[in-house]
Amino acid sequence: MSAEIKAKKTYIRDNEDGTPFFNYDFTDVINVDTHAIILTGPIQGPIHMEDGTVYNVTDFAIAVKHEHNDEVTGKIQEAHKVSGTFTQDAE
Amino acid sequence: MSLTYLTAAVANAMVETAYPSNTISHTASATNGTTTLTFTASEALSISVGMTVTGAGITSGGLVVTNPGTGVVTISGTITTLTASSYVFTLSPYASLHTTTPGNTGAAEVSGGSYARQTIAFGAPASGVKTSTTAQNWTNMPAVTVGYFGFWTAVTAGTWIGGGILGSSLTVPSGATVAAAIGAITATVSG
Repeated sequence: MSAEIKAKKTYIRDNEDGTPFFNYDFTDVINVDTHAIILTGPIQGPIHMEDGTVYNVTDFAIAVKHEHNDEVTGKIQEAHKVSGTFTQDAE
Repeated sequence: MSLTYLTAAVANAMVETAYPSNTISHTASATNGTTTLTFTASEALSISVGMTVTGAGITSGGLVVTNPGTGVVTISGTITTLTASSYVFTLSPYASLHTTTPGNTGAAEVSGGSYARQTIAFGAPASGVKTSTTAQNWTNMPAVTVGYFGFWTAVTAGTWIGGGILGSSLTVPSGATVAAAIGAITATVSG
């Protein structure tokens, strides 16, 4: 099941590398008591939670349930290792 | 202006100098009394203000207070006699969020709510980029728009290491938690 909560996404300008710079506005979109905002990084696509919830982490920032916060960041770490885009260990 | 055409080795060396590794060990070349250690100039480049230092003669609180890049590093703390031996320098950076450009000083840092800088660690540089290897959680944020991030040597006050612009900006309501996933924050060098 999808757990999408869409931020108000407004195009601002282009970054120096040509990618679009948006503003993600979560005001009046999330309940701060139930949801956290995650900066997702370069990993894209769906991330599957153990309880069946699916988050699409393609956007720069997404809202997730508090109970999924650690699991999402952990799955993103796993995705980095699987994709080979992230093979570094902490120094 | 940004330097684009660099070999990976040069780019890695530059980012390593700007954002030093979490732990570095260098051997001092001379006995220096109670406040300074002498290293080669290239070794000194990897040592930054705010690093903690341990080694012979430092009994507590070793802290790099100046590093003019000439090879002479000034240390504060409870020190007997510094010797020509190995010293370990450790940087434990903290990540900050900023509303507008932090410039060269770390200005415009978020304040209010329970906002506080969060610990962050990086992997070894690859193609001139150091990537975060830990997640961060800023809890109970104030209502704010965040567009920049930075790195400090301490959770409060401390020394500004550097920072940059986020890939997009974020407007968050009061009380929100903002988390940065592992790999979401990268450190590169441009000028």
